[in-house]
Amino acid sequence: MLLLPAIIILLAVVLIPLLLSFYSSFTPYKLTRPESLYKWIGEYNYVKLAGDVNFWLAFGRTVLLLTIALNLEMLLGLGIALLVNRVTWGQRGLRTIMMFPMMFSPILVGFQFKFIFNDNVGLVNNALQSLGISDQAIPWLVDGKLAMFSIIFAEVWMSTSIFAILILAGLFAIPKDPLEAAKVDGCTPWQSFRHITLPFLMPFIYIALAIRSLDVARAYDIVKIMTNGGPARRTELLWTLIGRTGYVDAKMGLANAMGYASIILAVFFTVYFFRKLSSARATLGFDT
Amino acid sequence: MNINQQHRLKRYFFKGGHLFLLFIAMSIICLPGLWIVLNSFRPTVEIMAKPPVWIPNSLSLEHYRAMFGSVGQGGIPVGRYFMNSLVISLTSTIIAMLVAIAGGYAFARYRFRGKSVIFVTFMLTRAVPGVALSLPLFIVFAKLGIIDTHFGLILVYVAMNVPFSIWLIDGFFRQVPKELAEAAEIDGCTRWQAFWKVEFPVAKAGIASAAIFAFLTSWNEYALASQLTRSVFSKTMPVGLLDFTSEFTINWGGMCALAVLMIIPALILTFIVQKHLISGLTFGGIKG
Amino acid sequence: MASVSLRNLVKTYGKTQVVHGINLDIEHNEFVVLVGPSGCGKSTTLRMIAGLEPITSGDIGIGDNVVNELPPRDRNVSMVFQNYALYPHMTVRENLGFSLKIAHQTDEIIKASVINAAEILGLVELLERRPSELSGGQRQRVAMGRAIVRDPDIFLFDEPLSNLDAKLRAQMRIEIKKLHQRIKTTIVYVTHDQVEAMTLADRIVIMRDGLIEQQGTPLEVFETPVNTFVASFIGSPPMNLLPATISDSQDAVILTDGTSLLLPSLYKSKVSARQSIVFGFRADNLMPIGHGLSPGLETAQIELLVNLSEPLGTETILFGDIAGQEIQAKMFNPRPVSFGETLTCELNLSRCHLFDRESQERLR
Repeated sequence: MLLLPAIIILLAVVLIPLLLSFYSSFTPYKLTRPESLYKWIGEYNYVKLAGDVNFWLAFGRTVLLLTIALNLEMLLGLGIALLVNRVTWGQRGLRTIMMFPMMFSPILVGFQFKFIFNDNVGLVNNALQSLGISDQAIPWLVDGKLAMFSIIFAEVWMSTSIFAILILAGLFAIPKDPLEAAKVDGCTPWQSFRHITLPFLMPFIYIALAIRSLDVARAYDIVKIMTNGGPARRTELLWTLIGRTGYVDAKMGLANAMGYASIILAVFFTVYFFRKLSSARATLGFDT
Repeated sequence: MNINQQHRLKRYFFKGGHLFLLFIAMSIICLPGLWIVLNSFRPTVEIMAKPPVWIPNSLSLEHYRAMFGSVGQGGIPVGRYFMNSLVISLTSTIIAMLVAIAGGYAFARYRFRGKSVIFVTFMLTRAVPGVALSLPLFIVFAKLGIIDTHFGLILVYVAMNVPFSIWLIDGFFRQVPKELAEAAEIDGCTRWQAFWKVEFPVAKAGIASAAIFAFLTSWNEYALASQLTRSVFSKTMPVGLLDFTSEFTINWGGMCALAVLMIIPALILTFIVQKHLISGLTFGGIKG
Repeated sequence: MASVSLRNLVKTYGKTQVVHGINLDIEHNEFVVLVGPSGCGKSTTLRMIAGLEPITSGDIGIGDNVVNELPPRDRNVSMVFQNYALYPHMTVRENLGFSLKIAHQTDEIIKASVINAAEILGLVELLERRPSELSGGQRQRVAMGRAIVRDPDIFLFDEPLSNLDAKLRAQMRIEIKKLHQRIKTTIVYVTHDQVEAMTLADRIVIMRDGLIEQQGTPLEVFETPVNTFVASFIGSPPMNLLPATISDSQDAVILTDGTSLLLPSLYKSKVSARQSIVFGFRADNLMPIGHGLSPGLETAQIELLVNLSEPLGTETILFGDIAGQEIQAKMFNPRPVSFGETLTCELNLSRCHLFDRESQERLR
C-alpha cells in the first residue's frame, strides 16, 4: 500500500547493505583483493577485535564521549531552557539564537572549533595570551586529554540547543495552576521545580535524549575534521577507526565487524532512552 | 517594613544574576559563528598576526574572490561543490517527501498489522551510524558503478531522510482532524480528491518543515558523502570543506569564507522552519 | 486565624489599571465574599492577598504584619483554585499531604492530618486515586482538603464552584458553609454568582471595574443597595429599574408613559420637584392582586400586560411591560397565565427604591 515505496527504499539502501556488511564481517575482505570477499573465516575478525587494544581504547573513548556529552547537554539544556523560560519579553529572539548551533553541519562545528582551538591563531589561545593568563600556546588539539576536552566541548556546543529547545517546549506545556498551588502550599522555587516541574519534564527530556541518540554518530564528523582521530590515535573514536581501517587500510571485513559494534552501540542507546520515555509517559498518567 | 525590603532586594538580585547567566549563555552560542564570519573578511596577514590583532584594521573580500577564482589560484571549485550539494539535496528531498507523505499518511490514518514493528524498524535504521553504513554501501555502489554519481548519493539520502520525515509527517497529519476529509467525501469528493483538496493543504506547513529538515540533513551530511564521492563531479560542500582544510592548513581566511558560504542556506531555511519543527518533534514523541 | 486589611490597593498591568485603590478590612473568622461581574478585579485582589500577583501600590496586612513583598509561602494562607490545580502525578493522599511534606513534618503528623481532612470531606475511599480518575466534585473536595490540611491563617477561594453543575454547586455551597462553622478561620471567597455570595457570606463586598461599590451583610445589600448597579446585581430575578420623574407637587412618581404612582412615604423628604430618577422594585414586590402581597401595605395598583410566564412550581415569574419596558413580577399560588392577558397588580411601595438618574445613586 502506501508504505511500499518507503519500505522498498529502506530495504534496498539500508537493510540489504547491512546484511552484506554482516556477511562481510565474517570474511577477510580487502578492497585491494576483491576475491577475498568470498572466503569465509568465521568469527576471526571479531575475535581479533576483542583482543585489539586499539579497538577497545577507541570503543571506551566513544562511550566516554557519549556519556559525558549527553549528560552535559541535558543539564546545560535544562539550565538554558529554565533561564529562557523566565524571560518575559524578547523570548522569541532568544529562541532564535538558541537555534543557531542546530543549523551548523557537524563539519562546520568541527571546523569552527578547530579554528578557535588552534594553538597559533586560535581565539582561545590568543585571548589567554592577551589577557596575560598564559604565555605558551596550549595544545588544545594535540594533547590527548585536552583534545578529548575540545571535542566534547564542540559536541556539547552543537547539541545542547536541541535539548534546550525541546525542554523549553516542555516547559510551555506545563499547566500553570499546580505551580501556583505549590507556591501557596509553601514550596521554595527549588521545591516547586523538583516536585512539580521535573516530573512533567521527564517525557520531554527523554524525547530529547532519544532523538539525540539517533544521531549519535554525528560526532564522527566533528572528530574527523578537528583531529582525524589523532594525533597518533589519541582521540581515536570508534567511527574514525572504522573509517581508517576500511578505507585507508582497506581491511573491509574487519571494518565491517567494527561497524556492527558501533551499530549495536547506537541501537543500545536509542532503545534505552525510548524505554525510559514510555515509562515516564506512563507515570504521568498521560492526558495532556 | 524590613522583611519586605529584604524580599525586594532578593528579587532584584536574582533577576540580575539570571540576566547575567543568560547573557553568557547566548554569547557562548553566538561567538564561534560570529568569529568565523568576521575572520572570513579579514586578510590572512591579520589573522596570523602575533601579538593577535583584536579590532580588525582592514576588511577585505580577498578570500571570497580567491574562492571563486580558478582552481589554480589556491581556490577550490566552490561553485561545483555548491551546485552538487544543491542538486543532490533538492532532489533527494523532493523524492523523500513523496515517499514520506505516503508513509506518514499511512501511519497517521490507518491501522494495520505490524504497525509498531515497522515503525520501530524505520526509526532504528536511522540509528545506524553513517560510517558503518558507508562500508557496505561502498562495496555495493562500486560494483554497480554508481560511485561518484549524483544518483548514488541521492538514493542514499532519500533512505536516510525517509524514516524521520515519516515520523514528522505522521505527527502533522494527526493534527488534521479526520472529520475534514470525511466532510469532503460527504460533499462528493473521492478519497483521493479529499486528500489533495483538504488534508494536504492543512498539513502543508508541517510538510514544508519536514522538507526543510530533510534538505538540511542532506546538505550537512558528511560521512556517507565522503566515501561515496570521488571527484569534483559529485563532491558536496561538507566534503569540500574538509578537503580544503587538509590541503590548506594555513589559509584560515579562505576556509572561513567557505564555511560562511556553506551555512547561509542552512541559516535561512532553519529560520523559516523553527516553530513547526519543535511542535512536530514533540507531538510525535508524546502522541507516539 | 487572622485579619486582613487592604489599604489603597492598586494593581496595574502595563498601562491598564485594574484595581483603583481599594480599602477593605476583614475581621478574624469572617467569611467575606468578593462578588462582581467578570473583569471587576476581584480575582486579581484575591491573588494579591495570596502573593501570587505583585502589588503595584498600597498595602496588604495579614494579622499585624504588612506582607506586600512576602512570597505566598511566607504568608500562611491556603488557596482553592477555580480549576482545582491538583498535582496530576500524585495520588489524592499525596496531594493532601504535599504541603506538610514540604514543611518537613513527621510522617505521623502528615498521615493523621491527611486522614482528618479526608474524613471531613468524605475522601477516605479515594485516597489512592489519581486526579484524572476523579469526578469534578471529587476533585473540588480534594482541592479543599489540600487547603484544610495546612491549618492556615486565611482561606482563599477563587471561584471554586464555577466548573460544577448546578446541583453539585448547591451541595458544595452547604459543605463550604459547614466547613466554616467547623473550622473557624477567616475566609475570603471570590465568585461572580450572587447566589453563592448571598448564601455564604457574613459580609458581601460588591466590586465593579476595580472599585468597591458596596459592602455589608447580605441582607443590608439586598434591602438597601447604594446604587442601581448593586440593586440589579444582587437578587434574582434582578430588580426592575424604570426611568421616571418626580411630579411638580413632589408627591408622585411619573413613569415615562404618564402613569402616576404615589410617592413612597420613605422618600418624601428626599426628592425635589421634577427630579429625574430611576424607580426600582423587586419582582416579589409586584404581584397580581390576591397572589401574594399581604394586605395592609402601602400599595399602588398597576396594570400588567403579560408577555411570558415561567412557572416554577411554588411561584410563577411573569414577564410583562410597564411603561414600555419589560419588567418581571412574581405570582404566588399561581394559576396558568396566557400570553396577552392583562393582570391588575399591586406594587408594594414601602419596598421600592429611588435612585437619582444622573448619579445612579440611592436618594438619601
